Amino acid sequence: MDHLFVLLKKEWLEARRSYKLLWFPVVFMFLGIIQPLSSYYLPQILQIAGGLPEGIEITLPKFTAEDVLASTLTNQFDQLGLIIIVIGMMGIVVSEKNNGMLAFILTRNTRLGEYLLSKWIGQAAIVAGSVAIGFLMAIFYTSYLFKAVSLARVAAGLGVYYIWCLFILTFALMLGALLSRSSAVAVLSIFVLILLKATTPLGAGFQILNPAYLTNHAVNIMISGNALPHLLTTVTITLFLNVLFMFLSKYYLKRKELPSM
Amino acid sequence: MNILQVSHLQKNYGDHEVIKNIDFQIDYGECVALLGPNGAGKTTIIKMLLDITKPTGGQILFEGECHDQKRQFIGYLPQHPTFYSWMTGKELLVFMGGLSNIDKESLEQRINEILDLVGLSNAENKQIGTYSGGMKQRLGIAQALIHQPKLLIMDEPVSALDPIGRRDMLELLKFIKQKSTILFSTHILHDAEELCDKILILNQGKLLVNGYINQVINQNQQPVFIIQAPRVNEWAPQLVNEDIVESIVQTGSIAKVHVKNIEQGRTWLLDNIYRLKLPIQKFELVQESLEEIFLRMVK
Repeated sequence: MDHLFVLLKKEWLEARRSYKLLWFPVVFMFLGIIQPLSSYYLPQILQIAGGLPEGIEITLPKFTAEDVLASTLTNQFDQLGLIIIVIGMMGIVVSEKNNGMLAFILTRNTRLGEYLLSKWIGQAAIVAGSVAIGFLMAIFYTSYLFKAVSLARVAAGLGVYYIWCLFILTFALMLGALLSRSSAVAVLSIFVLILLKATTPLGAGFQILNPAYLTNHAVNIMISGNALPHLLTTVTITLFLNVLFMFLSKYYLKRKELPSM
Repeated sequence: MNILQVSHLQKNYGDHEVIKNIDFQIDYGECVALLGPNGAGKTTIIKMLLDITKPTGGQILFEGECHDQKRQFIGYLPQHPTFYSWMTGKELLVFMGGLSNIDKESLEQRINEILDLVGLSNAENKQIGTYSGGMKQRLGIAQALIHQPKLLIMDEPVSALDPIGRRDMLELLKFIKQKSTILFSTHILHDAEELCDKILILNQGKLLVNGYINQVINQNQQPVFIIQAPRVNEWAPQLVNEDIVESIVQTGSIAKVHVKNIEQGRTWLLDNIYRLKLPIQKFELVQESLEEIFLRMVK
């Protein structure tokens, strides 16, 4: 376990030196602010953009605070946010694998499992912090422009959403172990994850097995305070897939001849 | 017991045999050079010793045990030590030391010692990205020695350096050699001759020579007469005599004559010099250098 600590300290230092610790939360803060602001100022935005043609009138829906937070999740965090997470994760195993550092580290007393776990914990912490800070911004602006929301509900919803984030990150990490180009990791991750997301409106029975459906669960918890059926099953399956991906990565890297310096 | 025992080591990539049934051993305190032209298989052997590459066949034992149990006691300097450019030299040593189970209290002191030894004390807080090639190499040595390994394995430690960096590195290795067992690969024979007790000459995956340098020289060296006189082309062919002369190599105004027997050869050559009335500037009996032996063997 001492090695894990040493590796984690290195992850932390790298995140600081590469400014990931800065830009990641900033991007999510930006994403958190956009939705409440654009919802609130929608009429003014339409006017500035040239107004509606004469004769056309539309009634803008009245947004509740819960609606705004839910759309922050679905329209911002789960679209641009998902892509940002993938881009932030695409190089984490690939670069060290390709430049020989991974093979080199393994000549010391380190195990592959410890190495992968350190990557996973380090990135999961950064994503957790960024998503939390970003959403705090959304909560702050929503409370200010609309009305105060139940923090407990929002926190519970966000917790469920975070499990989907972990899936995104573990999936990208696994592709990083399997593939040797970070661009390929990014493209394939985004393709598969968006595909999973795209099936969620279908709402068929197999959504129980779909990690992307966790966002729907999260939205429901935020709006109504109640969980949809089968929430626990989906959470369990997602966590199980994460563990499986980690084992697959380890198994594959163990058998492969790694590039060395 | 030997510190390292390699037996029947083999490596194939597909049908291609890269390493062909190699045996050697290293004893405590020895400094051994793995010599060979580029592509001979030196790096492949080193990668197998470090368990980066799995052998197709054969066995590698460190003090009678496999690599997994002995990571702690091997230090490794890769051929192109890149490391993390965003780390400082000191941070890298803290990181590598931590991975090798050195406890915090002794690590700090050990790092200062080792930075002093490799001469990087005043660059310890600079990022590795700003280091020169020679500094990176010295940092590579530092991280390889940080956990006080019994066996130091280095892949081409001096080949990529400029003459000054190379001289520094050789002096450093001479110092380290007093305390540790060293195995390093190189294609520069001179470095091996300067540092090592033992050499392994490798060519196309086969071990051609395995022994102490002076033994290798004694066993393989052929006597050579050097004759210097103008117009080599005219007189050199007249020295040919199948019973006495092995070969004649002409370079500039010099002919290098390999002979089968020194006494016979000397008489034959002096007679001819007298007969042809050669205006010789030099007549000398020399021994083949290690480089000449090496070149003859890998040809």
